Amino acid sequence: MRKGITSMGNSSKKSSQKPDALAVAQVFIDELRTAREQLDRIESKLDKLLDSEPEVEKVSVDEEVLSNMLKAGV
Amino acid sequence: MKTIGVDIGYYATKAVCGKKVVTFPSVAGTPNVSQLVHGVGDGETIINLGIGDSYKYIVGRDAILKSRSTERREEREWITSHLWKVLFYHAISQLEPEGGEFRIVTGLPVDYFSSDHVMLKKIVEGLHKFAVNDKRLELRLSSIVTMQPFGAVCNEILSFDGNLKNKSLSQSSIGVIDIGGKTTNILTVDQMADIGAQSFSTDTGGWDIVRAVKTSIQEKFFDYELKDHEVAEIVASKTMKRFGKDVDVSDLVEPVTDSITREIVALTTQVWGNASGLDKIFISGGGANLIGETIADEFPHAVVVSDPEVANAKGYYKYGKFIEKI
Repeated sequence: MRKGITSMGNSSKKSSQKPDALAVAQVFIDELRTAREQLDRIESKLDKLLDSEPEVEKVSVDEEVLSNMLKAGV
Repeated sequence: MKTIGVDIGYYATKAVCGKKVVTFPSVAGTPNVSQLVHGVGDGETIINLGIGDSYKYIVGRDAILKSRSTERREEREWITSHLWKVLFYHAISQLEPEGGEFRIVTGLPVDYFSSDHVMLKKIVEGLHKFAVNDKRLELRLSSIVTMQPFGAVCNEILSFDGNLKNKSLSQSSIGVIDIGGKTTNILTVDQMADIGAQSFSTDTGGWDIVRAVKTSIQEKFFDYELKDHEVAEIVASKTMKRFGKDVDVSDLVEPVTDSITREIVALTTQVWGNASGLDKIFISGGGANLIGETIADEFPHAVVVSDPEVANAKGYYKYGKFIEKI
């Protein structure tokens, strides 16, 4: 993309626009790169979430249930 | 000490340690001559229970595909057999290839629990030495034994770190229909206590479907020789390969699965009636992949659990983690 913009610059008018166009393109590329990095981070987080059971809030066990569960295994 | 949930079924062996899950057909076979001379083939594992080749086995799918003679069992006493031990060692060594000290949580069919749990604990506990691909391994094991379908319940109410994740379910009345290879276990729990009068095992399972379908296939295509695990795959897919083409065999499979479904539903209604006294019914076990949905259609509050074949093993693991926290 950058090469294409440079090759356009033959006339003086175009030549004066070249730095602006390059700067805009660079900003655009930087924004794309940032967005890509954010996407990668989100994708990585999603992978981890899909790979694991959701965090569950610790729930207290009813006393009778606890007693029964302890008896269920020997 | 790490916890490992192990469910050695007549059809498949399942083992769970954290998020790692191992599952393979419960079949072992003899390695062929070239494997003994030249070593192990690609991706194969040879379990050696003792000294000499007579105690060497290849396991699971490799045994089905490559062994000249394979062994699988369907009798209650198989927990004392070499086969059971080979499957047990293979499962653990797949999860923990370096060996070590572990708490094994496993289960028995409902009807065998009272009489066999002492024997099973003796078999599992203590020091075990064997070799995997000529690498010596040592396991130091302790054990917790429960009823098989209790694993499926624990899988629903506990999280992987052993915490309670569903309090209301733990306080309710739950029925489990656990369809295994040889047995179907019916378990009823109320506030996680088993209700003996409504819990039993029956000698009907996935292998009954396989045997009946195998007979039907041989009657229709008399030139067909199939191993049991191959028929099991045909039952699941309702198709079979014949001269390079997929052939639909629903007409052979469905009458059999319908008949077994009716039998299991009839048995459960003998103890549950229409099951209106239960808050939830879970259908688990490898057989749930074959007939679970048709059984679930008979009860409005019944569901086939996620990944039914490994639900017990996951539940055993979670139960072990739960006990660890007490």
